[in-house]
Amino acid sequence: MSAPDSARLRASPQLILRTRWISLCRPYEAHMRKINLLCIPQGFRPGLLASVAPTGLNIARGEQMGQAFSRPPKPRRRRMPVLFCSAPRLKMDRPACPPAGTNVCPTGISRVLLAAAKSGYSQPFSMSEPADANSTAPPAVRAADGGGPTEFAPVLWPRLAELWILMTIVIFVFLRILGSHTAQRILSLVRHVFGR
Amino acid sequence: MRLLAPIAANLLLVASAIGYGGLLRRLIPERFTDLDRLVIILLGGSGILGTILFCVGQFWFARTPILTVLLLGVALAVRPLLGALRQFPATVRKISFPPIPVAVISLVLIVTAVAGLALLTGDMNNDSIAYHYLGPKVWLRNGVIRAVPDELLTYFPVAVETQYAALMATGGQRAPNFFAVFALTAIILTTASLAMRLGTDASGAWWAAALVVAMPAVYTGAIIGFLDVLFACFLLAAVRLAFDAETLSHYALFGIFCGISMGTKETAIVAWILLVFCSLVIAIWVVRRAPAAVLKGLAVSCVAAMALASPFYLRNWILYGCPIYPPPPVLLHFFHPKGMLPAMMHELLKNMHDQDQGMGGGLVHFLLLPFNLTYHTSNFNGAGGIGLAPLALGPFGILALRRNAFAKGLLLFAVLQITAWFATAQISRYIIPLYVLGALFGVVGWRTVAGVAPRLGRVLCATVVAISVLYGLGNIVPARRGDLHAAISSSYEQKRMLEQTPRAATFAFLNRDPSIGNILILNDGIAAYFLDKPYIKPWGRWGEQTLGVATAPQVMALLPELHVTHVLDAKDIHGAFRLPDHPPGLTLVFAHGDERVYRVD
Repeated sequence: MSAPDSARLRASPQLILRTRWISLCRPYEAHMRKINLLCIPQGFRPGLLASVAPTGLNIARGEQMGQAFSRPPKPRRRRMPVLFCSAPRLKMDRPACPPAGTNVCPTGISRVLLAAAKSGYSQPFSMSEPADANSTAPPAVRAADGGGPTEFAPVLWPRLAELWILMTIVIFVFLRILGSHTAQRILSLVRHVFGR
Repeated sequence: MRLLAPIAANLLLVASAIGYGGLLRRLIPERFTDLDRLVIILLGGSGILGTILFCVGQFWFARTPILTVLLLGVALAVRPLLGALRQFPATVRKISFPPIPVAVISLVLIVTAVAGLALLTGDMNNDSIAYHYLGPKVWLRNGVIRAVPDELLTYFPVAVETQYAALMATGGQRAPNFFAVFALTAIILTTASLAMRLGTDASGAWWAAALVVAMPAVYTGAIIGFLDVLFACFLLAAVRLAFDAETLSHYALFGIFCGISMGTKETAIVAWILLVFCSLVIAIWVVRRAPAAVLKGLAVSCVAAMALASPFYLRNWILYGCPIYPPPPVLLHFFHPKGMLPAMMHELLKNMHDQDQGMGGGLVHFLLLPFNLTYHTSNFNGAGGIGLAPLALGPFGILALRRNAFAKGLLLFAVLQITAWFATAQISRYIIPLYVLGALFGVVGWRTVAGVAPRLGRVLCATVVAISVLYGLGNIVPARRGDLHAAISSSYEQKRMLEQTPRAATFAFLNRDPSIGNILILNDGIAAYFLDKPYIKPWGRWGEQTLGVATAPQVMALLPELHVTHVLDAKDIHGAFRLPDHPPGLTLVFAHGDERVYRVD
């Protein structure tokens, strides 16, 4: 990326997307309308963004952004892409602002995203807020419990999850539906009809 | 009026419970949300109300003292209820109502409310007829709370049954059935509160509650007098506080809920010990709190638990010789329970052996529990299943929350509790608290899988939830069709009573005739719950001998001392009457089918 390009990017609102979970982008849908460039990590399918990103939004891959958009230093992190690097971190033990050295995002966006996370972030693992004695927010954000989806993805292969769920459904159909008296009666009726 | 009285009685009871629960307000952790506070106040108030009624009932148990206790609770509730009413519109505006789970919950509650207005029918195989409702009816008739000598299981702790008695006294025989609405509401609120604690949003909390109320195995623990769902609520409140307690007052509240649980069911004694252990482990090794502070808090909680539960166990110890009654064999070395014949112990142990085996006791069976509980729940003496969500989605919820200290506590407790359950009594409704935890982790897993696998994963998760809910509703609603019909048609209700209740015609005769006073029942299988008159039953179904004699001639020899006006004889399982065809000193006044009623000359 050339120096002028970099300067242009720094001067305009932008969002660096470092997640493969499109569902986690949905709370930020409104803010995507306020930006003119979205940076997505290598391997992320832009097609997934179609439902949340406005038409005409400039999308750039992380590898095109050069050093300025490199992944922030993450101790104890695995190679899996993490969530919005310009958004508040999802872990209590991480800073709630973009890490130093990756100041490619205007502060304004960070503030917008932080506000969004506080007011409307509704994922089960929104651990971004500190404990607040009088808060009426979900208690999970109050407790320093740790855990969250960023820890989850490397453990779980999505296809494995789907396979497990499919298997339970199939067993259910066999045991509880086809194995029931009603199903047996229907099956005998079908056999009877086709037997004729 | 026949339908309004039960509803009004239940509203009075709930208002009173809120009043007594308000006494716990200062002990509730400050960071608890409004929903959490509501759950604690409602459940704590219910437990305290039951305990107060029990204590008062040891000396005088009639409509006057019951109403006094209830109205005192209502007086305590007036101020908070008025405040809540003022804020009600604003509170409702803040709550989101996702249509599908709200519709599921509403359907279940409406069905339960309408069906709960029907009169109970059945025989001694129904636990409510055998002892949950029998005890309250006999207490009200005798004016004092004492175990019914011909039914061993009325010696159990009765924190919920005392509330049934209050409902019978104020709202008639239908009122305790309507209490199921309160039990289901309590489990819905408890589930939602725990779901929010685990980090789900409002929609997730609604879905978790919908999954729980649509579990037939849970639902059957809430209706027609079963108290397992309310017990599960008490225990889950204790679980919540066990892992969120920080100060001594929080630990005291934790202990209070353990005590209420033990005052509801004896199985809570094991759960209490496990919970204290889990709380200790999580607080010291996971949350890294100072061991001395944790131990001090747990000591306070144990004192509070024992104080709350002590009325039930001390009564048994003082009056019947053993705090836990019927006593486990190991306690027979230390206590000498009165009237506990070896034959009764044998019968109880045999029943436990027959009923509590579930799917077997080996290691393989233990490892297969998640599978068997999902697909073969009825093998655990449970009516209906628990849906697919806990098995299909729960593991992902566990994975997602594996760093969450609270979730770790829940999992530790669940593993220990299910191990204890597996080793003792494998009856499905005893682990309703774990079914609730399964649904909670299922919802968290649902959201997680939907995030990781956005396309197919989302569809599969939706399928699992749809199957769980539809399968549950498909079991629940048809099963209550008869009750629904009976609630809206009194003619059908009477017809159903005659069809489904053995000896209903004889009971009608005995209850109707004003000349009939004290009745001697010579058959141990007759459900005395349906009798509105005082009675003496020489033998119970567990081998109880209330008069100390074993045969009918011996009982007849005692007849002048018993002051009975009539004798009810019925054919036993061998097809024979206990009395000869023309017993001396008795005149046959009613005969119907296999029953005969004699007047004592």
